[in-house]
Amino acid sequence: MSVPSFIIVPLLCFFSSAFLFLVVVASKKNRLIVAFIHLLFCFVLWTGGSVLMRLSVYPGMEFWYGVSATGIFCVPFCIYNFLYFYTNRRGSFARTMWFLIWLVIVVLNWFNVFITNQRIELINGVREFHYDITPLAVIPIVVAAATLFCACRMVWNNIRQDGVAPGSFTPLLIGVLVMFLGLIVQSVFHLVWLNTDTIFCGVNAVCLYYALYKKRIITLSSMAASRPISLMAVAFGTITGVIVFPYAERLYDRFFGNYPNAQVFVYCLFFSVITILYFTVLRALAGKLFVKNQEARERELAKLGRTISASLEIDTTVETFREFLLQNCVMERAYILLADENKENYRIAACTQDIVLKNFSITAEHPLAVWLRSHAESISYQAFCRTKEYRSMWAQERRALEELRVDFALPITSDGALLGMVLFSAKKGHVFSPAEVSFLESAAALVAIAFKNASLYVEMQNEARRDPLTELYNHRYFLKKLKADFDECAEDRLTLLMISLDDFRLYNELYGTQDGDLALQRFSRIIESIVGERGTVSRFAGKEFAVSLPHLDAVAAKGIARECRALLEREMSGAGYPAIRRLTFSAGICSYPFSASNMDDLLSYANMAVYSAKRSGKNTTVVYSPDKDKEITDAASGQARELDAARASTIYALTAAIDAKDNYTFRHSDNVAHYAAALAKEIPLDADHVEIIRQAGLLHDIGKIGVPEAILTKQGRLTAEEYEMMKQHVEGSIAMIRHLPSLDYLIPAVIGHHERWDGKGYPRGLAGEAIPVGARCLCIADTFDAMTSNRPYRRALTVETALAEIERNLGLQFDPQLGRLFINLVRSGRIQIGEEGENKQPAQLKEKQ
Amino acid sequence: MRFEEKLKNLSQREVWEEYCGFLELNIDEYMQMQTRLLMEQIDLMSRCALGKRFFAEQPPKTLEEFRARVPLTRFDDYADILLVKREEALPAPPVLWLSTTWEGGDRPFKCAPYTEGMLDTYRRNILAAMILSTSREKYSFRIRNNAKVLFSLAPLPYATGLFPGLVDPEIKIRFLPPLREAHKLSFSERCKKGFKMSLKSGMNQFYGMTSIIYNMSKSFSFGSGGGSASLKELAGVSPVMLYRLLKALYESKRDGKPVRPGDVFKLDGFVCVGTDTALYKDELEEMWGIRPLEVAGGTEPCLLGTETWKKDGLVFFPDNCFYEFIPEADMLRSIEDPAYIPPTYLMNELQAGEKYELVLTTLRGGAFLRYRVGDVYRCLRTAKPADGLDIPQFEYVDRVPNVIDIDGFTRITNREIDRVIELSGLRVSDYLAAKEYDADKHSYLHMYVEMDAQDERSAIVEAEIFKEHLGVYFRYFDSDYNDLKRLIGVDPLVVTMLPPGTIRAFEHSCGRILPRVNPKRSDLLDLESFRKTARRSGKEERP
Repeated sequence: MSVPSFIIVPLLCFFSSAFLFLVVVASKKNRLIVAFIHLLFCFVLWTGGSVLMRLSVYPGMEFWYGVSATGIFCVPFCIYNFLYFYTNRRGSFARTMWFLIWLVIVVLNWFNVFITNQRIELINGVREFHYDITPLAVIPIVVAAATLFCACRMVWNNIRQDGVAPGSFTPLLIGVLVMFLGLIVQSVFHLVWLNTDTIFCGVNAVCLYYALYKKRIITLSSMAASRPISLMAVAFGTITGVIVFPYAERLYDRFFGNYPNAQVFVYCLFFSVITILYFTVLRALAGKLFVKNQEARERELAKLGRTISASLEIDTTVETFREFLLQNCVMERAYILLADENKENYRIAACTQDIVLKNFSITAEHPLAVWLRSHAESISYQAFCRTKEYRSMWAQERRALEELRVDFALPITSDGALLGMVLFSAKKGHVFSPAEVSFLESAAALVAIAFKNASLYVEMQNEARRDPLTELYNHRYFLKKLKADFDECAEDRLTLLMISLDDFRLYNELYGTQDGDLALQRFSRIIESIVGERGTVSRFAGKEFAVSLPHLDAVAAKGIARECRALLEREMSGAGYPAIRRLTFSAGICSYPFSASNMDDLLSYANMAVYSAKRSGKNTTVVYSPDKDKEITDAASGQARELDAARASTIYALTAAIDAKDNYTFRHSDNVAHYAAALAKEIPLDADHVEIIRQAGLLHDIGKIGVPEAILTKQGRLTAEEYEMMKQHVEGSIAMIRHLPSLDYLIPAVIGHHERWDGKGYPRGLAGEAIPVGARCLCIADTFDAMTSNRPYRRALTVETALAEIERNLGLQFDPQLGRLFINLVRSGRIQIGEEGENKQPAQLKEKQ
Repeated sequence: MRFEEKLKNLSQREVWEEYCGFLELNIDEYMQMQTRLLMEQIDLMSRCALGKRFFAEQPPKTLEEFRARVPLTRFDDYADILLVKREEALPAPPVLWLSTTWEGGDRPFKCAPYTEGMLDTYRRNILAAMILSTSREKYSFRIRNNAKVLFSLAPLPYATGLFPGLVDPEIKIRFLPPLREAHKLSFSERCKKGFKMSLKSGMNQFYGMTSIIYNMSKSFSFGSGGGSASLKELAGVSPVMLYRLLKALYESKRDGKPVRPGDVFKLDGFVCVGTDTALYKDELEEMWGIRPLEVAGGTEPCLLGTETWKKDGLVFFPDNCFYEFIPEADMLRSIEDPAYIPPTYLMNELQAGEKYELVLTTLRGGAFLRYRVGDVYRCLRTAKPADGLDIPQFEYVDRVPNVIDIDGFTRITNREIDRVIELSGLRVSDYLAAKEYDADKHSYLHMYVEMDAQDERSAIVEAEIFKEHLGVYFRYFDSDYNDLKRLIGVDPLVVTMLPPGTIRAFEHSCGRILPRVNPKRSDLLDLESFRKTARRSGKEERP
């Protein structure tokens, strides 16, 4: 036997045992681990002693034999001790007894009671280890058998009495059996060249380590800890030093014999470098073998954390998580399911493959969801099938999960709430390892935080977007949504349905604000239920609701309004109210691109349609149309005429009042109404809108009643103070009209007739198309009539001069488009100056209705 | 993973939790599971012709609606679909049909479809019963691989006959006799052969009908000489069994006591099925050295319930059927007045000590809705905190009073009796039939018969003759009745002849009409004393 084969096997076994020993020493300890450390220490003594004995290292072969034999004799007790803790036994009498017996045996062995005459012989040039056995050697053999029998009994009882799975002992059994097989082979066949005992001792150590790893008591990553690596490097360096030392000494003497004083320093330096090299190589090796994956996972987790924390959007988080799973999971596919708003269903939000079953969902009462919620940990489908929750699964639920080939479920939980889950379909034959499970659970925890934050954000967003009373979208959000719908429907249709409850102030006064609020809430639910996914419903103002209906036309909107009316009527006459209550609404509809060209027009015209509906007797729906007369769905036309007659007489009375006060502006209002209406008609606006502008023209200066007559009739220029007072007439007009609820629809036009296109007007400083179209018409008409009428401070300008002035101020004071149209209309004679205006009587209003 | 692999790779606690985890449900969780599965059943039923029959246009949406709208049913309500096996009218496709005696029905048998889901549940539950039968304490049991099982339960097409086929793929079991062989044998041959084999090779588990086990146990002896074995009988006996037998024989001779089954067999599990199990359990425990575990079931409900490791009361499986209970008083009233609709109570509404008639709705695509299966149970307790049980435990009482069940074999109603009397040609003018017990605790049918006063034979027909005559026709008409004699050696008919007019006169004296089947025991005693009084006072007249 050559030297390497003589020591190489025990040396390797020693290394493996020592390495495991150092690894376990470095890991977190409990009683079981300590028992394992003791056992590994015995293996180290056994194999290490064997190596040094064969090398006859100082203090000599006998000493190292003693060390090795001590290791061997301690093994049976240490196995017993290890299994004692592994099986969670109680009562220490037997353990203490075995300890004392083996202590005696070990001591006796140091006195060569069992084995004598140990020697290394050189036979045919091969070094062989020989020894003689005394008859007393039967004692440790019998005691070892008895000790191991007791250990097996502990295992048996653990399986029988405690119900531990027999499979969990398989690696232990294999290890111990292999070790004793090695001992038997060694003693029976005397394979001096192979050293089966030390080989199988090493195998046993690995088996035991695996058993603990399988039980998740020890992790593989502890193999890469610095301490065992350092110690191993030192061990390797020392052994290398021992082996290399004679050659190195000869080499030094030969080449550097003149420097004997530096010899020790050179040796130390050389072996230090060797040890550092060993350390570097071992650490790299261990890192690659055991830590690389873990480090990579930690990096991925950190990256995931960074990415998802950067966004508060659920969709972005889902997409990031999907990417993460795709890159870091060994699987066929994964489905990410998220809870809906009501937490009643978990729907697929993303899938790692293109095959997405959009319709698949899991209810909150689904047994899998219940289990994940209550346990907040992942579970394999196979294990889930063993739970009591599984018993209450519906057959179709089982089929659905089986069709998805779900193998593993990962919950996304936060504060006891199940926010979502990931259902994995594993690759064939792949089982998620404990490390993978832990990795996925960590990722899920990060994602849960992100989802929670995103949900809170959405919740806050919703709160900011919602009207607290009706929980419908509020005015602000609706305008945003309408803009988005408008952009989306640029090449299609978009219809706006405006709904205003009739006489709601009266309803509040009759039944109280609380009932009024209740009515608003109920009506909101009605609109929501009817509109459904077709559009967006909002509480636009106090008693007004707006519905954006992308891709739908006015007919569909009319249908919605009709259904709402029917349901509201049923609701008001149904249960919940002590007596039938009357609550109706007026609705206005405007469609893009048929009746409006931009979003502002859409809003404005829909409002006009509502006003028109109100004016037509309420409880009706009007579709805004620029080309034809208003369309009334169910108005009582006789009643509408009566109301308009009443309004007309009000307007006449007010106009007469201002005319009476200001002789110079006599018929000014009438003329402005005439010019503005003519202009509006040519834009073209629908008949109702034209009429509204006409009436606004009649009342636009009604506020002048509050301006002192001296200012009104002053012949010279007004002072700044007087001018300010004069400007107050706009607010005065609004204040007066406000007290006439039946005329409130005139306010937008009246309030804006002194606004300028460039934003320098008053009272609100609006600019461009933000100024209602009616106000823009009035502004032109008012200015034109003012210029072409005699005033106390000047004479009337000619029509052409006035038109030139208007032309000069296009884009400054006036809407350039409307101004140009007005000029053309006057010049072409389609607007007649003076005559018609002068002959116009407010009483004629009746005829227009 | 098969059951066998689970035993190897999982801890006992894990296996226990999978199969017997339902015992840890609290009553709310139990009801949630019941309700959830009921909703599945309603959903399935609403799509088939059978369900539409009971649901009309709209299926019930809640449990309350279900109980309010769906009527209580009997087999007659399903007969037109089930007897002709109209599978397209059922809520789920059946994978097999089982049948049993239709007591009081238009045909001798009634049948029930079994779906795949039902069989899965049955498999899981029968394994739970197997675990519990070998268990002495919670989470601890002993099921050996390759265990020898003596199986003496009724074969297919009865529900118990499914057991071997369901369990065999899950765990290696050596049935005595082997399944292939057993299929070729009649029930009685199978029982006898299985028991002989068990005497030779031993057995680890015993599943049997209580009356048969009791009968076997009572007549248990090894060796014709009541304790001495012949060499022929000892041939082929395994060494372990030989040791046990010889030891038992020695101890028997030494102590002058008969050999008991428990001296020879060391059972891991012992499972009893049958109507009179409660009567025999203590004695069986004494004889076998292990307390039998009672399981309850039937053809329509499948495997209803099992006892726990304490073997002191049945617990119903939550995923087998949806259970409702009719209190005894309402049950009796509904027997007297068929138009009366009795109220039902749920599992969480029961009172300990009360008797209830069971009403069940089969789950997993089964065919029965609010079905009055005809079994009466006593609620022993609503919870047993000492065992960690928060669900009710029951004891099987008997069939409903208008059915006479003899040793779990046959069920007799007045309809069967009328038919048998008609076939026999005997001119019986009136009768009363009651279930009674002999000294060996065997139940029997006791008939109190009045012959027609106009019939010339009435003077000469004695009770024995009448019994012989009627017995022939009972055996002819009811094969289960015939099995009683063959398997247990019991003649389940006792006849007492009454002078013509006695029953009417008694009814007249007490002012009420007696039910012809199973009148109250006190009424029967009163009738007897009434008859004696009448005879003494010379009022008794014979034609």
